[in-house]
Amino acid sequence: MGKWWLVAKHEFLSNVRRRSFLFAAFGAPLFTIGIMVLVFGVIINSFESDITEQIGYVDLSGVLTDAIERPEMFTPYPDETAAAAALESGDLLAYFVVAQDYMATGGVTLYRGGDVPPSVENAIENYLLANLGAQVGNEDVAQLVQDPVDASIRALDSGRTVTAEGIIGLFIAPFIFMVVFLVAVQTTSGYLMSSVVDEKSNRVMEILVTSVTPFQLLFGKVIGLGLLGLLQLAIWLVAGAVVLSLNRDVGVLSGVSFPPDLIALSLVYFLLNYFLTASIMAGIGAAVGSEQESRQIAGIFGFITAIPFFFIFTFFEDPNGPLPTFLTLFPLTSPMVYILRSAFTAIPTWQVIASLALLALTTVAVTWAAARIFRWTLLMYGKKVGFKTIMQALRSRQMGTTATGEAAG
Amino acid sequence: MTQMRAIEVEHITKTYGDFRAVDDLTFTVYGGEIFALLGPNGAGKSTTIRMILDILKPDSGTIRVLGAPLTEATKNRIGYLPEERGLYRTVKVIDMMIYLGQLKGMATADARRKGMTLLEQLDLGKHAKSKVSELSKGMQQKVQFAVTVMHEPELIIIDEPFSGLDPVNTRFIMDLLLDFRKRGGAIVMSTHQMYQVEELANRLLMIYQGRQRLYGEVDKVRREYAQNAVIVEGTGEWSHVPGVERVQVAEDGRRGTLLYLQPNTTSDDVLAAIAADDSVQLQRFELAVPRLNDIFIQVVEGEKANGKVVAGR
Repeated sequence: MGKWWLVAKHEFLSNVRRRSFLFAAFGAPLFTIGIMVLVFGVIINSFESDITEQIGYVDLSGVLTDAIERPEMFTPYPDETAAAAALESGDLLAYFVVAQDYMATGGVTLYRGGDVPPSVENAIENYLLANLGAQVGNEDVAQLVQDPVDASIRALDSGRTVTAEGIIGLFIAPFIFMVVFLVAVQTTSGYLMSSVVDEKSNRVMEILVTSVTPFQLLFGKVIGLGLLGLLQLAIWLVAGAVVLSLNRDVGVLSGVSFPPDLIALSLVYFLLNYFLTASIMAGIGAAVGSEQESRQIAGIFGFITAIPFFFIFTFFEDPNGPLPTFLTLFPLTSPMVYILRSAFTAIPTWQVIASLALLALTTVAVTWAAARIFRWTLLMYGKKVGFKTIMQALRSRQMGTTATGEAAG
Repeated sequence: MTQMRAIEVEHITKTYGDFRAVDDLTFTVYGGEIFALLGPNGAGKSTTIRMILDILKPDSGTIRVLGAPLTEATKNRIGYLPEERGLYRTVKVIDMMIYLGQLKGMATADARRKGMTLLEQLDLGKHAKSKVSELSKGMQQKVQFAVTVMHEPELIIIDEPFSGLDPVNTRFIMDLLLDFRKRGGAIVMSTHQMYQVEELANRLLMIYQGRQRLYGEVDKVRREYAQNAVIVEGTGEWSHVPGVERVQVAEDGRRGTLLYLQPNTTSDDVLAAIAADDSVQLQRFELAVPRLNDIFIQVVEGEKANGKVVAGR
């Protein structure tokens, strides 16, 4: 192992103990997932909210004479006057009247005192359905009338099958993975940038470059922090696997799966994306040299990477549409989008190959450029590195001129 | 002086665009000496040092360090104390020293042991576990110095080693430098503190506008710049002494009187004349060897006035 390994070890160990790493590795994704659970909870609750108040009904049609499956909250009343009195006195939240000609018209009138949640209407419908079904005679048909679709959803060609209940899991798993993935890449490459900025601004750089070559330094940092990112991913994968094995029976989680092909390709995407982002950050760190300014520029890249999040519903509705396809091919977003899309659809093979090829090519080119910019601007202090200098660094044949342009004695 | 050549620089030139930062410099630094690198700000000192350290490549010329062009292995035998101090601010002192020692090829245990020894020596033992940002400026300076020498290099290059240090700590560092020299190490010291050069340095190189202006042993350079004059202290009318051309009193707040001698008069002649003259009483008599500071200013000012250096008189 060369000196790059010492650099890698140092970067890994000094960052893994950081409180901000612990937060980024666990806190931020947990926070995001917490919010998501909350949002889903609210959505699901609004359909299934418990109603403690009583609902009265008056059946003028006779459909409900020998009522089956009467929900607890439903109380029959002999006539409208009695029901209206109960509503008036506050015993009832609402009451409905099944019209005399219900079998012909389906007429049901709801009288309410205050707000009635949508679940009440569902309950009324189900109640009537159950009793109408009872009249069919054939019990199988009666069952089917109540629950006509037992959906099992199959992503085309992907071979993954989930039940209707598991559809949320189908969505949650890649979403969580995407968040973890994004956080892992962004935090570790952010550390890379700030360590470069830090060493540059506190002038440790001067000592470092008389001990190691700029390439050893850059390589060591990229590897050390890359391992940190992988650790972050590994922790989440293991945690995910444990949670799943414990809760396999929970309906919502039944759709969650981590197929090996998805994981393997995701890792390839992760590594390429990490090298790409890390190189960009290292280049920014070396060239800009001020914490605040480099963060601003890095923020632009972070924003671009996060674009798929803003269009998450597009992926829901039309996972093979032009925007998802474009974002699959665009190197800064392709890793995230690959994971997201493969949850909803089978991505055409040519797109996967093309996106990997584009990403790999971009990564190689950017890493090469970043290494040159890094080498070139490493010891330039207190001056803005302009576009001209960057171009000079990229074009220069001679790499031995770290501080060219610097005329200080 | 041992014959080990720590640095051999031959005809190096470095140009930034139209600006010639270093212009045809040639010099040698030997083991067992303190070599002062002098020059006003922007003279090309840092560029020269960076070329020696292979951070910059010269446009032309050759540099050999410790006997060969600089390699990765050679870097482990060099210590560098940059002008702008560089330390990790949020890391524990000893941890940082271990890391920087490892990068110079030390084993972890050696780096820890040597680091602790140095910290004790510099009276910083109880700060080994403090963060650098918690140390005073003087302490940081000492830690920086410890980092420079901890891997027992054969050559150290230091930029303004004493800036920001109180007299006690200056003495600490000075003793370490002298000890390093005694053991045969080579020291290149870039500084503006001329009295330190007079006190410590064996030889010097002064550059101005990228070119060599003065080069050689410190005492010899000073003698070269000596005028035909003596400094005396005592009472009496010095201008009456035979051989004295003119008298200048208490220059620059220094004690004593400067006697400029007539062209063919030597200092011995004038001492004999003073001894023979009852109207003057002598308490001190010395050759008027100029301070390096004066030579430095003279070189720079002379260059500005004439476009070339005024040769030693």
